[in-house]
Amino acid sequence: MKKFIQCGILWMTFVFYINIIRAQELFVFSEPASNMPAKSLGIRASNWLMYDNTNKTLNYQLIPEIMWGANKNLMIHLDGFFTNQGGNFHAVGAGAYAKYRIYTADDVNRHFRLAIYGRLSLNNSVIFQQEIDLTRNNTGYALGLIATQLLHRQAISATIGFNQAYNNGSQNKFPAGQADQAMNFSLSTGRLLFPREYISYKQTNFNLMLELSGQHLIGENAGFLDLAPAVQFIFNSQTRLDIGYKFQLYSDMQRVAPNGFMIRVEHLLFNVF
Amino acid sequence: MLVFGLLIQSVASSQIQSVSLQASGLTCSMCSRAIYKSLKKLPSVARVQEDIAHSSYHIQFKDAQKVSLADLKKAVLDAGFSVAWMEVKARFNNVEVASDSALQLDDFTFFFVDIQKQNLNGERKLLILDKDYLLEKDRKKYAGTFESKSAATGGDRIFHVTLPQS
Repeated sequence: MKKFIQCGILWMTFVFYINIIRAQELFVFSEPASNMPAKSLGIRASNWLMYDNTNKTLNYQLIPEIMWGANKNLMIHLDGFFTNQGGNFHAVGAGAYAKYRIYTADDVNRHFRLAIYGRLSLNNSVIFQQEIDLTRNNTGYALGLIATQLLHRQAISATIGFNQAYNNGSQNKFPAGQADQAMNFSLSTGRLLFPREYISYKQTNFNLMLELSGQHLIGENAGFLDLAPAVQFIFNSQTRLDIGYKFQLYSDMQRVAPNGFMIRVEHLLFNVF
Repeated sequence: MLVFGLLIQSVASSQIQSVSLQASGLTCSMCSRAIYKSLKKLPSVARVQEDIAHSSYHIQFKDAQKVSLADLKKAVLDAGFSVAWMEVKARFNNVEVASDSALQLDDFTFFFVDIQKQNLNGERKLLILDKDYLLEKDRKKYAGTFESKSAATGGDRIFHVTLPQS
């Protein structure tokens, strides 16, 4: 299985560099500096299937999300966090994410954009790892910067963000002595493989993404680095299906379930407001 | 203002036929469709023909409605992108134009920039040179030729145009 996945990743990396067609920045494991269209609404369901190394179980986490393009520069996400940890499927928290585009340099089929983002998350699950994850496990906030360069043939996006974790409610305190601050970083690239030529909005798009993401705990010399390839289908220029596999390349911190699949469905409603 | 008023020719027989524009900053069909939807919902727009491969749109209007070029530009910006160029196609009947001359077309006043003195006949395209209607690097070619008259650019009814090469 492991060998199969490794071969698959090598193949995808190869395809990335021989099939030079068009860039794609609708990343799966990170956000680009671009926003969704103004006055539009997006509905998203992210399903995480991560293998729990400690308990030898498959963790299922569901993150439903509503996304709103407030204006051409500002978008806001509201999300809920659900998990099957402990045996029963239940809600563990909710969060809000806002992204504001601060710089735009557009040209035909290319752009460079900068955006700042902020996240606020509430979570009441037990804190059982060093990794600070504000979308699935921790209460806290994040602030960061995203830079996306889209050229005709290559989309590259980099993110850097500060994370502060707090107690997960009064029941689940943040472990004493454990670093509660971290820097997150990511580097993403994406390509459109099909269609070779755009004629109609009804053509299904097939995209490949490759993303690196990592974390460094502030005050502790510990971190991790993950690699996440993904395939993406866009139907009718409106509905997205992402299938990604995230796995740990390196870590010297305690993480419970770093490897697994993420399957996401997203639907965009144009001009709702 | 009096000078401009005297220079303006009113061309009763010419009317704006359609507008074409190219959007910049996008490469995906989802983005292209967002612009298409944003243009299509404008009350004055009757029909939008898209060329996804070139991110360009050909826009036709309802007869009775007043066309707003500013609304077309805003629709592209609201979708999250920029206007690379915008061309207005209009019908002319032997109208003499030259650089610095002004022309009244429907509800618009167009000031011509960087053109030879000539007579316009039949359908011709006018390329808009004002900020946010043309890529900055293309606008730079005309820098200095009409910036000094920017005070005359009033809102969304007065534009600087040139005749495209093609």
